[in-house]
Amino acid sequence: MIQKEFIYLNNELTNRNEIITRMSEDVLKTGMISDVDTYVKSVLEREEIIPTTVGFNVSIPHGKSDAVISPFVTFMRTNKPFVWDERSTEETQLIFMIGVPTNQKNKWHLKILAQISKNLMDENFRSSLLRAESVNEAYQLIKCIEENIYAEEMGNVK
Amino acid sequence: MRIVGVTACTTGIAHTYMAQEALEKECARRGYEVKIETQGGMGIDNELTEKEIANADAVILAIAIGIEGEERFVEKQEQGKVLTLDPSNVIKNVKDVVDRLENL
Repeated sequence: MIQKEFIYLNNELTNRNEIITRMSEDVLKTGMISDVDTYVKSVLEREEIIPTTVGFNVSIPHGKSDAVISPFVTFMRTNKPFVWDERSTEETQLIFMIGVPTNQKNKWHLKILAQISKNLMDENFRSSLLRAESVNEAYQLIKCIEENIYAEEMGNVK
Repeated sequence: MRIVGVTACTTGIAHTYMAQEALEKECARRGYEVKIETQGGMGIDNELTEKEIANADAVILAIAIGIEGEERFVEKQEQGKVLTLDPSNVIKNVKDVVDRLENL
């Protein structure tokens, strides 16, 4: 779901659509989406309804699409905060991009995405991401959410 | 103060759960009882009982779509005890939202 290849620190990009496309191209390489254009279209359609800025310099662009083969999350921290959507002045520096297949049956994956979203409400989690000095450090911060959910699920089936 | 609510967003992936977390945290900080039902990609979780709704001092509906069981809140609505907002507003301004719930 989260991979080291999906983590971008200190990126120079300051344009929403470029960022979404750039990350989607890397997701395509792993085979988790079948085509960039269809997935990006679903993400931008969601942005059109209402921008996915959630405060605290965080945005969570996300798309539910047939082009998504396996659920994923990518993370980018940009060099500086930038205006995410010209309809508002809200700035973004931490971007979590989520992809989910249209017919997502696996609740486990949704649970991980829900928990990552909840963690974003935690100031300590956000400041750890802002401070992370390496891709590995940021990866571990996000990966441990996935592992906790997994451990919980395993506990439940016992 | 007892607060109950429902959160639901268009894709059911992120905002539903972020709004739940924001409300739970802010209410806990103020020492209020809180229970938030989520209607998202995982279906209905933490479902509110009739009794919990009846006993609540205020109801927050942080919803961007129609929800299951909206009729459960009709009575509270008539009493002027229901605040309906978009989930993203709740996430961004949770302190103001709970202030408004206090003053319903």
